[in-house]
Amino acid sequence: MKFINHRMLVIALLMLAGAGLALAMKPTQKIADTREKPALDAMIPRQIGEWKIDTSIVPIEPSPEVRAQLDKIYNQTLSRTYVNPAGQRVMLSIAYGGDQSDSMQVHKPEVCYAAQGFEVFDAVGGTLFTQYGELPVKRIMALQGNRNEPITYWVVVGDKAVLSGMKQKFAQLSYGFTGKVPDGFLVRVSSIDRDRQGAYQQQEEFIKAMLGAMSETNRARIAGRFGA
Amino acid sequence: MSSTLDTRLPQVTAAWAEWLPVVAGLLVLYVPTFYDLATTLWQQDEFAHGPIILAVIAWLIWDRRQALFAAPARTAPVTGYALLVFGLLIYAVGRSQDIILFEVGSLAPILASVLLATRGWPTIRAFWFAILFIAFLVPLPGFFVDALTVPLKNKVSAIAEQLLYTAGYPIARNGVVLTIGQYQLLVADACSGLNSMFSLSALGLLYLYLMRYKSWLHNGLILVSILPIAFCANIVRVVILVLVTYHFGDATGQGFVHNFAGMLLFIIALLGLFAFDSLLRVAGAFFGRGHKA
Repeated sequence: MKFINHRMLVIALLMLAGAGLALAMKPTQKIADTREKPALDAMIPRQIGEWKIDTSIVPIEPSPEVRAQLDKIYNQTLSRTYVNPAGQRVMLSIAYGGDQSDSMQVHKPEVCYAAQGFEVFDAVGGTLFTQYGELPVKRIMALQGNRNEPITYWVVVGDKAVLSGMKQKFAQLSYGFTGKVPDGFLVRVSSIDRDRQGAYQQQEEFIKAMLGAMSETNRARIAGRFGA
Repeated sequence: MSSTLDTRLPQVTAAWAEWLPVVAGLLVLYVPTFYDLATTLWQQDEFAHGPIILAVIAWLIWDRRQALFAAPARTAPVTGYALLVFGLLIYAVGRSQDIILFEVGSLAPILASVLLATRGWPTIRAFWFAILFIAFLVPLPGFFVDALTVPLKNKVSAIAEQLLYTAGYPIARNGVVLTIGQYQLLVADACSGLNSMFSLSALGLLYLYLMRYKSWLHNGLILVSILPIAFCANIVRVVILVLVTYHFGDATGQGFVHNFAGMLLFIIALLGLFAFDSLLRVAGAFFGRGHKA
């Protein structure tokens, strides 16, 4: 038996080339480095129409350990509760990930709420018709004991709002194949409400009011460029 | 002529040494992949079967290792290299763009291509099951899980409700929320049984492979029975959890018993599979056809 088999050597070299190709194709150029870092706290108005900030309720966030793992330089989160004169509350939570969109996974309600002991179910993709254009949103239910929490959320990859899931992955890939790492936002609006449809309706009103109260540049970052 | 001992030892070493470059290449490609999986995805309950599947694949290859040292027969270098390049491209895209389906799935064409180019078609026959089993190493795609979870768990809750209602329990259902006595139970996504169907399919196929039945009818019947058996076992699990909650309280139903019921599901499903298999064998013997290989 031969000690060295030439075909095996060729195969091994091809394999090394494949591993090298994978390394070379790994996107490295961060979109986040090419533009201004968002200041979430300043970007979102403290007064949105008739909605004001309410400090009595804190929205659900990823656990402190998970948050500590995230790259502190690039990532930011904002959690606020707004209340209207009728005493109705909506919780707003925005996460910005600058280094890679995959790290945004921990902020996905499906992951984030489940990690806090909520049952998360009935995720449905839909479209929210804003005054500026269509926003692809996911609506989902979270339940813990007596706390019924309907949630509306969307993700922005680079410059575009996309439905969380496959579309998000495709948007990431379109950057990835050109060597770029897109930054991304995850915007989540929720309320504690037994009336699911009513809550979604109210969240929609709130989202429209929020987009209306923002500058065009900030809006484009939080909700993506409409028609882009 | 030298003694047999003198020649055999170096020969065995040489046979292994021949494979060294390929083994090194595979390690360079996949050690990072599986390290990443072990530290991320495999930590989740839904993908906890990953390492076991990998171990099974390794064992399947080890079990047939003699084929690796057989003399080359009907090798197909052109097809082999083409398949290898294809597999490597899939790997590069998957690895660089974080598509686990591609990154892990590439193992199948790459292994097949190596065998084709160096040892030929007969080795593909020896390792076909190991290569097929790689499919279970790949996580189910998200859109597939999303599409099946809700219908499955609706079905599961509806059947569980029917069964318990027929048995005289005070049970009502609203969507996926079951109300029994004073308790409200939400049939969670995990209760859809989709993941258990996936792992039980893997186990069922492995069982068939190990049993080596010659009869296509026998193999085929077991094959189509795997998913229904997994589905029924999951219903038994949900019913047991509902009953435990009703008789022993919420805390019991959600605690240790909840995890234990998951285990129970596997045992029930496997027993169901064995029972069905025995039934087929008995039937086979009765009708005078030897089904056993």
